[in-house]
Amino acid sequence: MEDIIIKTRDIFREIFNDSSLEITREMTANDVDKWDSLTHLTMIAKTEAVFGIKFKLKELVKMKNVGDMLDKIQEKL
Amino acid sequence: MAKSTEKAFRKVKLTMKNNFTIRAANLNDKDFLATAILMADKGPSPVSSYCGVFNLSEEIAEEKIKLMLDEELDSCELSPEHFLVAEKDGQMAAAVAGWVEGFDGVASWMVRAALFQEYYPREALDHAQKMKELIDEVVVHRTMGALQLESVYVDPAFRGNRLATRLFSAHVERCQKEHPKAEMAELMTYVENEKAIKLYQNMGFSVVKQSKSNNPDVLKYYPGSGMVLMQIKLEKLLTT
Repeated sequence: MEDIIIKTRDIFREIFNDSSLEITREMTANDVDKWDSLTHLTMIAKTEAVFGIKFKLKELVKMKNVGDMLDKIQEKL
Repeated sequence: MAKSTEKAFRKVKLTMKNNFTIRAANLNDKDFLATAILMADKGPSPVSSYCGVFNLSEEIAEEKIKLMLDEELDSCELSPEHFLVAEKDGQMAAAVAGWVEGFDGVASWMVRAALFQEYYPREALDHAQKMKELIDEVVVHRTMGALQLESVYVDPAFRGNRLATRLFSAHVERCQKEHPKAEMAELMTYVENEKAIKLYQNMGFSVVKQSKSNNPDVLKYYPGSGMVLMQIKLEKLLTT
């Protein structure tokens, strides 16, 4: 899981253009200033590319926070 | 018109009003719902954001919206189960979507984004990405926990029957049963749609947020240069 967290954190840093951004399991879109629908689309595409996975539509709409996303990535690897 | 004839005319109109059936929508209504989603977004403008922002024709956008409706996901207007419709003699007359924003912990924009990613072509998403600055200027965020009234559409042949009012009231009744903590209803329209804004103000809605883009090309992509978010206390929409 440690490796997943670091790679995901790096994706967030790149997408939100913030090299000091840290992620937590409880973090949601409400906690990150520029997290909107378009950055969300970019983030999902980037995450899929980095981990070589594909999220299903119904998985995407059930991810309530970063923790749900990390668990789903781990499940798919 | 003689008084007796006028009275008789009113009586007929009243009976006709009562002939509308309000019911929950289902997947069999998806053609009408897709039309409602696009037409309600356009309002009096020739452009819908479902098309303009993504550089898609209305025909393609409508086809994709029907596929999104097939998914029957919760939490945004692209779900048949959130719609209530009015029909008369088997003819669809009006539709309004309603859901409580974030009731399952997921904001409607997140569901919409996932559906667009799944069904809109890659080039359409790339087009939207290029317009991020404009989108940020126009988009207004919804209030978590508030009943969202979206895709408010009455077929032109059935206007003047207070169908939107009746559908709003039916949504409030449903909301009060399913989400007793919800207190407010809200809806959005575009700043140029003055007729709709006036209509909602007459119902008791107040403007709580407004956006405005000064980009000279905004009307090529959106039905308006900004959005208006309007709110009302739920009980004020009940018509009994």
